[in-house]
Amino acid sequence: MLSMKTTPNSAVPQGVAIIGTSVAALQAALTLAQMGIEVKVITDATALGWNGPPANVTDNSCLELRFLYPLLVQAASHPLITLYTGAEVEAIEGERDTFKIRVAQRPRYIHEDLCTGCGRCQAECSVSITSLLKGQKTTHPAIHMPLLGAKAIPSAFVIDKNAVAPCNVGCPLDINVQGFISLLAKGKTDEALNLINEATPLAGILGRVCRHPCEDKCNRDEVDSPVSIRALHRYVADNATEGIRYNLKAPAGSREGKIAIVGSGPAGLTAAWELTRRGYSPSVFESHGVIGGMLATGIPRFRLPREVREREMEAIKNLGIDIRTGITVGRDVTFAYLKERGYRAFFLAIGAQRNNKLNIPGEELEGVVDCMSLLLTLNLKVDTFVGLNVLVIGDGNSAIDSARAANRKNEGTIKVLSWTIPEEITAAKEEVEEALQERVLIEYCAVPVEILGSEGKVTGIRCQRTRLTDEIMANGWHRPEPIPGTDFVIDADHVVVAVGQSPNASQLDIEGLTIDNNTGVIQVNPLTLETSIPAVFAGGDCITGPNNVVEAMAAGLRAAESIDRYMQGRDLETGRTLEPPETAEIDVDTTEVFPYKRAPMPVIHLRRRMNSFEETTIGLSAEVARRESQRCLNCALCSQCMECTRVCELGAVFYDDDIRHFEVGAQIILRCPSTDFETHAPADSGSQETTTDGVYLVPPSNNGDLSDQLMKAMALAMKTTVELKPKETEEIKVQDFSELHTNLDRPNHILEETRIETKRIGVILCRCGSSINSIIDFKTVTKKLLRIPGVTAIREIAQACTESGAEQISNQVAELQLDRVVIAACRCCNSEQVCYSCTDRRRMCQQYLDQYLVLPLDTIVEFVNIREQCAWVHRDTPKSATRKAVQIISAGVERVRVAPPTTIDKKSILPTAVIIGEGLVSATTARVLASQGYQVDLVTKQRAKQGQREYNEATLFTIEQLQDEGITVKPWPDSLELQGSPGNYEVVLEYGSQVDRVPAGAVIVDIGELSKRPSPLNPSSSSGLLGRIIARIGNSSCFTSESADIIREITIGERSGLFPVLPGDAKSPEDQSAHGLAIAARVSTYLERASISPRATAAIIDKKLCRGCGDCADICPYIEMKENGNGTVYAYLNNILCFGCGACVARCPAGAITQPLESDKQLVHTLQSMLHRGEVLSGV
Amino acid sequence: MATPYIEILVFACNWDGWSCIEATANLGVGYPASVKVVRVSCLSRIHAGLILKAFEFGADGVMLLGCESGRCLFGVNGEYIINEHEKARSILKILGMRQDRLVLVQLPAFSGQEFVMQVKNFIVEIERLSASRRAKITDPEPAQDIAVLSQQ
Repeated sequence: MLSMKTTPNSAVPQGVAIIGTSVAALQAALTLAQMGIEVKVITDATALGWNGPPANVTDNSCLELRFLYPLLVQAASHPLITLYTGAEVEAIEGERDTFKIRVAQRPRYIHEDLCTGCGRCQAECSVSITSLLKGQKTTHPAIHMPLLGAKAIPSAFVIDKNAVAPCNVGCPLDINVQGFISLLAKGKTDEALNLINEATPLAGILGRVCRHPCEDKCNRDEVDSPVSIRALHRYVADNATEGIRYNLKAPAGSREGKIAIVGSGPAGLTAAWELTRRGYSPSVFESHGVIGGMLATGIPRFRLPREVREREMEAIKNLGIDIRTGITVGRDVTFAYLKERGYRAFFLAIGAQRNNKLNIPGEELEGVVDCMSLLLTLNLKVDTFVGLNVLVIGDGNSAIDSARAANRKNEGTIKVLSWTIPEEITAAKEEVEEALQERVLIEYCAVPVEILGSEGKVTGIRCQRTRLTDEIMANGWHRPEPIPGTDFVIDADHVVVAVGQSPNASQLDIEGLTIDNNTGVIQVNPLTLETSIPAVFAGGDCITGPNNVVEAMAAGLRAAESIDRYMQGRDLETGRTLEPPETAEIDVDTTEVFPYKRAPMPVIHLRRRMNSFEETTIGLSAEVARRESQRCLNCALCSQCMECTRVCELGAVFYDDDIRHFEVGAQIILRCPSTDFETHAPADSGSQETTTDGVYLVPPSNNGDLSDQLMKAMALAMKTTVELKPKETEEIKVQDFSELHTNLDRPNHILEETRIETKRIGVILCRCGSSINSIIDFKTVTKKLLRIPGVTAIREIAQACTESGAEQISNQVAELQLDRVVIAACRCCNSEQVCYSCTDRRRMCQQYLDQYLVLPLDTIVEFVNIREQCAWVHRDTPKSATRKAVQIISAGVERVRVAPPTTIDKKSILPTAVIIGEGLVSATTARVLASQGYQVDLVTKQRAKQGQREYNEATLFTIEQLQDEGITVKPWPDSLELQGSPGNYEVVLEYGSQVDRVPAGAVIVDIGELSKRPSPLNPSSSSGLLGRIIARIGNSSCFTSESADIIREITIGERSGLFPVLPGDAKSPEDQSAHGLAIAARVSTYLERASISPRATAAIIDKKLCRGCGDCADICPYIEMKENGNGTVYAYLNNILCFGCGACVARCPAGAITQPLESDKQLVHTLQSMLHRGEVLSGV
Repeated sequence: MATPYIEILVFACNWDGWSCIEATANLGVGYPASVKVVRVSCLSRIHAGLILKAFEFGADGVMLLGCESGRCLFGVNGEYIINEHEKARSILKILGMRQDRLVLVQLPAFSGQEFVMQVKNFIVEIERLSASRRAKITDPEPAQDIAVLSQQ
């Protein structure tokens, strides 16, 4: 059975492991399992399947393929076969009987047992991947069926994942960038915001002022230009209709322990946010009157409007965080006092507020200000003085911000003094560009030497030119140096010093806090952010110097993690790393991607910017945002937007799956030739032996000769079985199966209708993880079905194909005392046959029900497929689909209602075999069967040679040898006939006047030998049972000329227990003994079943109605015309032999032939229920 | 004008025929919900009586969907269904119901697209027939039909 779990006993060396899959491997697996041997199939493929016949196949290969799919379904759903998909063999250890196979299994991210392939996830998946299928470009979602457009086994979905997308790696906050962009591309703005808010708060602020390291990493740059991630981020924050919703990871206030956070800037707030989400109740101390730190005081309003800031601050406050403004730690309260009050952990996020000095003459002059105070006053106060001729010294973001802010209040000129060249300027490129648009002048390559003034007021500065040296600074750029003697003067009446800030940590007045003497930053462990004092953490600008918002927020998250660990008493470092995760590498084929330029951020007109602090940028429009988000290349494939987890009702998605290593134990290993392990190379070409004892080669595909492959596979399976199961010495018992039955057995023997009572019909509706009831309205269906007379109850279940589903059905059937059950799910029939449409889930549905559903004998179960036959093909018209569902389910109800009471006709199979034939093939079959403990009779030509009875010249076995092995050898008869019924034959051998009757469960007949003259099969006996079965084999109109011999042999053998050995071409002794083994395999799987019953669709002839015309006998060789005592002729059919095609039913002029589950009456009722006017007639 | 509800009954054989219909779901192609499918073990199970029953219950068209000639899994002679098809068509003609309301479609396994195309064409064809029938009321051509039948 399919299983994703490694059951604890998978490592037990029991049974056979098959490595790799091929037709032969699957056949071998199935044959072994049918003989009761545990089989473990390890395949590298994610799924096995068949995509229908390729476009131009020859007839023969097409037939092969038609044979293969049912083989695959049967093998995959056999209870003794475990299929490990996506599994690679790493090593094989041990020896025969104790092999240990070390396996690494790729994650599928979907639980195979739970997934029903309903496809709800696929519809919601936000990523579309382009891949090649049969040479054609096709697109599919990141979560998809393993084989596109085809039936796959196991029929569970798979997620295509790559490593982490570069944008995500680039984001210090670990925002799932690709995820929110892919959601946006699907128009899911709210979901996108929720996804961002899983990682971080303040989406609207980040969408405006983030330094966007993500965009620097964007692979789209190789095609044209990076995706405008920040603009999309902003779009999401501004346009989500449901507003900001922060998810709590633990109930609010569920964690004990007081935590103090100093500073409500990005770092402090983010730490407070994360700690609150984790159930803590931190307190934030802010020295200013407003919260937000630099967000409020340092970033001008035209970049970050007050409304946005307040909206986001409000959302954080709404989490219930205790924020105390106007309290300066170190001045208003001391660290020691806080400790006394029970604060156990501290996070210092005081930022870098102290302005660096120029340290040149004239800094004390009136009109010289620092940029922080200028920005603060411009941001928060009205009527701030700005000079006519402003000079900003410095080229960082604060400098540009100050210049732009001052520009809005200024009538004259604004000039920025940069010490380097335009390419190496510190401020963000966009900022500089916007500043230049706003006519801010920039003086490059100049440093101030002295501030000039008169009467205590500034009048200008004296500067020097600089040039770049070879020295590289920490930020990666060249250090400029002043050139002596290049002095010049710039006039100014207002000088803004913006040459950086540094933290003022000494103001905190914390004893023992290590502070860097040069830069003033607090020194911390970079991994945990712990300072020199335990339980005191620091982050943000106060540990780095002036930095950007995103880094500060990341520090807040990192500190929150540390504090959480500290409060829980866990190690601060275990499992954490500063290393970035593995980046998804993609091969961008620039010719494949349609170039589409990055959307420019629209800005307001220059005139509107002056004298106003209105936000400069407007934000993308919905249409542009959608197009921009579609530019994403989906580097990580699955974007982890988690939409599939949201919609999957079965909980089958497991995102965190990883590669799994486990051991599979086996006694014997069969491996496909394509899987190469050097240590297990074949001993010589053409041999199935390998250099390792107990490891065999599965026969390779021999130029597509299916017969040969299957035969050799069965031979190999038989050989393996003989090695694993030595002869059983116990007495052969014949069991009586007439009373035994399994629960879901198909009734196939019509009983006289003795009692007429109201039947209790129940209908089970399978939701299939909502993939059915999202289209078909189950309420309407229930209402309509309940109107049908006899229908007592309708029940819904989530899934019919799981163990719990079967249990539920079983309970409901018992509780409601149903004697007719209609299950509307994806299974189409209640028949043992596996047709091309069948799937593993349908088989599992049946197997579980078989296990759980305990029914009285006369209960009839019928399946109706409302998934593939209704819901899935009428998605666009749910109303019509609902109507059709009512019709097809009520047709199922009608079918079970009019079905006659039936019983199961089960016959035991004798554990004996009679082999009629010559040569090595027959001898091998006989020996193998005898070794398996079956009673074997070999009827063979014997040759007298020099007084010694020798079996055959070509073989080395003498009759005595065969007899020693327990085989009864019988001479070739004059006449031969078969009597009885499948499983209980009697082979009648005539030797002159003597008659020998040999009972046989299975009969193996060498057709070639029988047709040799003088044949014991005389012309008159060709109308006998043996002759008729052989006629069916040989009749090319019965089995089309294209069919391969072995398929004919298999099909006939499975039903009749008569195994023909077809005259093959002259074969080598090796091939002959392989053929013998293959036949022995089929015979012993047949005998292993121990009982046989007719097919559910087998025809039944009513002797009383038959008028003896013989039309049916002309159609089917299995029907024989018999004569009863008074000379009346009637048709007789042993229905175990019947294949159930129904041709005789349709042709019988007297209506004497019927099929229990497909009678004319049932078909007419089906039609009546399904068709519109029929419905009216029946009044339902 | 509302689209007329054209009801099609498809008798599909369990093997290649049913797999075609199944394939439509796998390929994600739909067809009108007025197309109803009845699965039978083999098309040779169908006789003219059942086909006429479908018309009696209001089917506007009946499609017999089965394996291509010579591909029957049971090895049943394809002549049987061809004969029944012909027989039912002659009866339809006698009844004045237009024999084109019955078609025999034989497709390779898994031909989902092809099935949808055929059934959609069939619906269009029947719509056309219905329109002309409404105009002419009926067109039985009885004499000729009896002659045809007696030849068989």
